[in-house]
Amino acid sequence: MKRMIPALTVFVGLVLQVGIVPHVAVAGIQPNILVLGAVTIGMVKGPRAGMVSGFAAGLLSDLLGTGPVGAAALVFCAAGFLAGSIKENTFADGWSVPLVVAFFTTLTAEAGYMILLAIVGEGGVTFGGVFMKAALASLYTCAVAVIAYPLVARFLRWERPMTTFRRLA
Amino acid sequence: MRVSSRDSRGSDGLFLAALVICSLLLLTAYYREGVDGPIRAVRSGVQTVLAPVGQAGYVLTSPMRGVIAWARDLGVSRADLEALRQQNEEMRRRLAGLEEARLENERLRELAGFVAERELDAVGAEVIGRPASLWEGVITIDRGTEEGVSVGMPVLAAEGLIGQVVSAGPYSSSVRLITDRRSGVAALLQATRAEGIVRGSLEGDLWLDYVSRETTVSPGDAVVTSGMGGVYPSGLLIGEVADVQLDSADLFPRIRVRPSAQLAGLEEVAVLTGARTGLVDTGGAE
Repeated sequence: MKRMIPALTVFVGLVLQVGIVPHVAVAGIQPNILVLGAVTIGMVKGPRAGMVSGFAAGLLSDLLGTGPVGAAALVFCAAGFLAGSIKENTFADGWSVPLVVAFFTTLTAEAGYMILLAIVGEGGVTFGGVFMKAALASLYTCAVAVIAYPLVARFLRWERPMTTFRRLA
Repeated sequence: MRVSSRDSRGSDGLFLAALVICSLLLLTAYYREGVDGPIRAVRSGVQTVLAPVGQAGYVLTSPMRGVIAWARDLGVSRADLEALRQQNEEMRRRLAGLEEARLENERLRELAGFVAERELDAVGAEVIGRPASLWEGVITIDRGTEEGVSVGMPVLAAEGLIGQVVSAGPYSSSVRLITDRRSGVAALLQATRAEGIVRGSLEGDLWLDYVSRETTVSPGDAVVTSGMGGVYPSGLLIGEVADVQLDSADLFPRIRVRPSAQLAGLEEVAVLTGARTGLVDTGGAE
């Protein structure tokens, strides 16, 4: 059961990403729930769980689209690992830490994906517009994290119920 | 904060390296396999299974708009609001139904008129899925091979060209929008007849490339399909020039095109199942 919870989190993220996210896009900008799920798992369960969840979430994201399969798996995996490592090695504490980590790791994942596509010849990169789009999407994801992170963190630590955001963070 | 031991950090690094290698192997396999390869088959299966989820999401998100309206009405007393709600419930339901039918009727008439005017064989379709990723420009429609849709067919909205079918299942198909980074359409500027290629981009903008430096291009110029290559019939409206940049070092001007169709809010489209090549391009004479 313990190992199933991150898998269930990724599955719920997949359903939300396909069913809800496309309909709540604002001016073409949409949150990335799959990255957020992997990053949250990384922060709560550690770098290894983060990278495995990121790999699974990225693979699903690749299969949903029409781009090269393996590209999102690679960057989401790195994002999950990064989130877990930052959380594990930082002394800072408080409610803002997970949000800041979520913002920067999502930005890293989105920008990394875009750069990887350019490397494999799937589209040229013009940094101005693309970076702005990635930054806005990361902000949107961060806004979603305000609600989603405490819920998912609590779900992931179901054996240790916690009630405050600070303790969850 | 958790303090990890050196051993666990070392094994995490090895684990990460293993997953990175898996990803790279997948990427390599994806590029090496053919169009009927196993990875593409799995992708097609996943997308077919998840197509109804996207459709259900559209229905599920409708109440969110209702929540926003409810929040706006919070200033009114609850008793008044309840009385008004009961009084108008039936009327609003009917009105909403009629308005929806009227708008759909208008859109379908416009779309049917557009297709009939050009003597194109087409099948109408509804959009049932929108891009699930920031960098994707692919929508899902509710028509597939059972209705005669196949890969490569152009897809139109009432305002003009929107894209091309890139994969087709029995009852649904994926359509790559012209703004997608991998899209390319042979096009020409209607006024000057200068040819080029309209390409999408990661940002979702549309660019007209390879137009000669000597061509005079002005914002507002119509961009239509040229028919070169035989994929798209000629004369279909793509959009209009939004702005032009030309530096002294550039080989070609950078022409940004504003799509004529509202690609973000598409609901009904037409797939050209029997598009004739060599349609007469009026060149704006009509």
